[in-house]
Amino acid sequence: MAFLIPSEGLPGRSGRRRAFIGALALLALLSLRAPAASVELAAAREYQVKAVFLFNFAQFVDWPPAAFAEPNTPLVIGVLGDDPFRNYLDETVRGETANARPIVIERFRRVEDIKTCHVLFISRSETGRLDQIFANLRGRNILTVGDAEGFAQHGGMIRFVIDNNKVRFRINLEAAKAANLTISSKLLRPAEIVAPGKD
Amino acid sequence: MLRNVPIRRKLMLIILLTSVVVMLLMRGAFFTYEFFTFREATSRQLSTLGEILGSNSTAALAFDNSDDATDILSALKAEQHVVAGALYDRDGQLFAHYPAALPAGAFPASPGANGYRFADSYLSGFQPVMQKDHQLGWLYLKFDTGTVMQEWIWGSVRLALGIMAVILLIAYLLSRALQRQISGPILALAETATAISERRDYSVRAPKGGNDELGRLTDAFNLMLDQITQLNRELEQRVIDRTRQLEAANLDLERSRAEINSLFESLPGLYVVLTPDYQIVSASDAYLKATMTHREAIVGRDLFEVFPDNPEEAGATGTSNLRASLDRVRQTSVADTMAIQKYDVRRPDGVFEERYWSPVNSPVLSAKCELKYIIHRVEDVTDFVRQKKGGGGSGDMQARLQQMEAEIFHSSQQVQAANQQLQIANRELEAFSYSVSHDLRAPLRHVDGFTGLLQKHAADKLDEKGQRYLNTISGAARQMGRLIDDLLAFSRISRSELNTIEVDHDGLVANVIRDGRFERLPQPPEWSIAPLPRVRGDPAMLRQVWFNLIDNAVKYSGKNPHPKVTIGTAPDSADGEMVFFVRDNGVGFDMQYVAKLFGVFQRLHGNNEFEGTGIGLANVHRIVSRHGGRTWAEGRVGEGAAFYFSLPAKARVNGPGATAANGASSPT
Repeated sequence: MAFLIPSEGLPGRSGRRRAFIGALALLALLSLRAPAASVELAAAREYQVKAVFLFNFAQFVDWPPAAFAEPNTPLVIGVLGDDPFRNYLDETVRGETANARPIVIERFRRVEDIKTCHVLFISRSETGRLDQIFANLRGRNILTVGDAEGFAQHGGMIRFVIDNNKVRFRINLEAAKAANLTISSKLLRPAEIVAPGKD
Repeated sequence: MLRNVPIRRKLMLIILLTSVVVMLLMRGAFFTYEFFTFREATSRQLSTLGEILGSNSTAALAFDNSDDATDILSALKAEQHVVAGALYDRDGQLFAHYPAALPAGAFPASPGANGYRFADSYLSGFQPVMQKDHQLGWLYLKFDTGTVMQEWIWGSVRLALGIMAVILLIAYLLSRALQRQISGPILALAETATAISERRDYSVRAPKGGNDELGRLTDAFNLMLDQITQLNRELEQRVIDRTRQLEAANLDLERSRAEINSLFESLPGLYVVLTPDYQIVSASDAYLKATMTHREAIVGRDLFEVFPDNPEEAGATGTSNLRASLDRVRQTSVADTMAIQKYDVRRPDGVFEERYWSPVNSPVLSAKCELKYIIHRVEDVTDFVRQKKGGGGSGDMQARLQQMEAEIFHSSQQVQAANQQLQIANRELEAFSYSVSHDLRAPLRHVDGFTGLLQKHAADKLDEKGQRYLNTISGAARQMGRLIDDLLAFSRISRSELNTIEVDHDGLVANVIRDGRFERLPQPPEWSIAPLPRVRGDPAMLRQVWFNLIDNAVKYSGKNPHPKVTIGTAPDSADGEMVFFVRDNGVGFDMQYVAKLFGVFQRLHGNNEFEGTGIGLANVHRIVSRHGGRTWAEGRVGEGAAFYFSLPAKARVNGPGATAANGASSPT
């Protein structure tokens, strides 16, 4: 069978990653096998996917040169508020790069703590402070992602939604433009575009 | 296959075939090149298509949106030959596929190596889906090359066929125009050759084209024709010359023949030439006049049919006597002179006229001594006979003459009849003596044998007288034996056939002298032998002649103290004979007994004087007679003898010594 090529030959896949992917596959298998599994487990899987999406957004978005101090300045993915990803995010970006930049995960308690950040996930725990947060972030080249209701309405750029048991997202293009970020048109295909002020 | 096709077609076929083969080879090479180019191009196109598709589907892969991915893949509809497409996520799981209706099991379970490969008339393979430097999954595409290839091949073949048709047409037109350069002169040559062989017209020339090999061939052909024409002309001239010569020779021959004929015909004598079966070949004018006939009326007819007996005369003997004479000539090949013969001649009006003739029939022999013609020569003695009968002189005289004439005529008739009877009797006698001699030998051998036995057996009982008697008996028996042997030999000579050839008489004589052992005699003779001519005859018989004559000569000269034997030829006599002789200086003989010399058992000397049987000379006579010659002898008592024999000079052959005449040939 010409299609069965040993996996060692495939580019860009380390042993660790493979182990991780194996674990994921196992999880996916488990979830498929047990549609009535615990809510905890379903939530865990949801954030697993969201972690990967977060990482993938970095691939489809271009930051202005000013966003990075040096050519090899790492790309920072930050989490504001309570971290729902456990260690999935760290696992996802381990060893990965974005435009030849290493990726760093940082966690912030408050918006004021944010020094350097390129992709910021705003946790549901911050839902009440969204306006304040966006006001604080105005003018900074940070891609804001969240999954709270009305996230885009408040000025968030990308909001995760669950549609038909799948993780989808909506994009607020105005907000991104305002932050001087260039979102690849490809990213718009699977996304739902929202007008500013809507959710 | 092409052997019998006209050269024009052959040339065209060769040119066209070559064109087609070259075209096919070129087309084949071009096709192969196109085929690989086409595959490469297809592969590249598919790769590009994959790049676009992959690039479009990165977001769908990145954000796990398989609906979007399916939507993207459905764009493949526009590519009618892409039969399948699929996206695999970064874990190698089938993510989306096209056509959507196809079950997932129809696609590879997991992505294989990157790149596209041809397999089973499909071009299929994987390529990575990248977003920047980040791989998001794999794209799988399956392209139906079979259909495309088929379409492409059909198109290519159609194009090739079209081009080929055009090229063939051009090649055909070109070859038709160009082949004339070669076939033209060859056809002209062939046409010329055919014209020559059919019409035999060697004046035709083949037209010449250029100066190439064909031009040279045409030149050579024309030159050959020139030579043939020349040869023909020479040959014709030679035939004309030869014909002219032959005509001239024929004319000469005709003229000389006519001359000879007219010579023969105007001979004053009466001559008729007959074939051996008595057909008239020719006759002299005198003969025709005497017999009142015309040449045209008798030539080619039987003699006795032309000249029958007078039916009025009951006892007419003309035809029978003439026939008997001619038969004799035919048998002996010796001329036969007939007695005066009454032979009436028929006038043109059918009435017979009384005629008396004196005929001689002579043989004409061929070189092989075979009878070729018989010349019948006659003299019309009618007037003479009539004159004698009724001529002048007294009545008594005339009556006597008349009676004498009648007697002569009568007796000549009797002689002729007797002659015939004698010949018959002679032949019977020969046969009789042969058988008697033969039968006598057996008892004689007994007498001789038993006498010998008695001599041995009773030698001591017999006295001297008794012994002498016995010796006498024995000697007599032996003498009788010799006699019988000689008689048998003599008889054989008469009976055996003559085998005539050219005889070397010198050789014969030398042979006889050597075999006779005369040198052993107490007094060997002195030989004087002249060169002898070659004359035709039977060599065995002629040897006997020479032996008998030489033996005689030696025997009868034995008592001379200086015996001498001379052998030679006498000058030819008027009759055209060759005369040989053997002379000795022995006891000789009395000429009054010369007639007895050549008879059988005739001896001039007693047996006690000279031994002999008395048959030797009889043999000589017989043999020479059979050759058509004569024998005679001359001698005087005590002065030696000479024996002569002649052979017909016609039988003579020119050769060394043939004309040598012996000076000492005149008989003493």
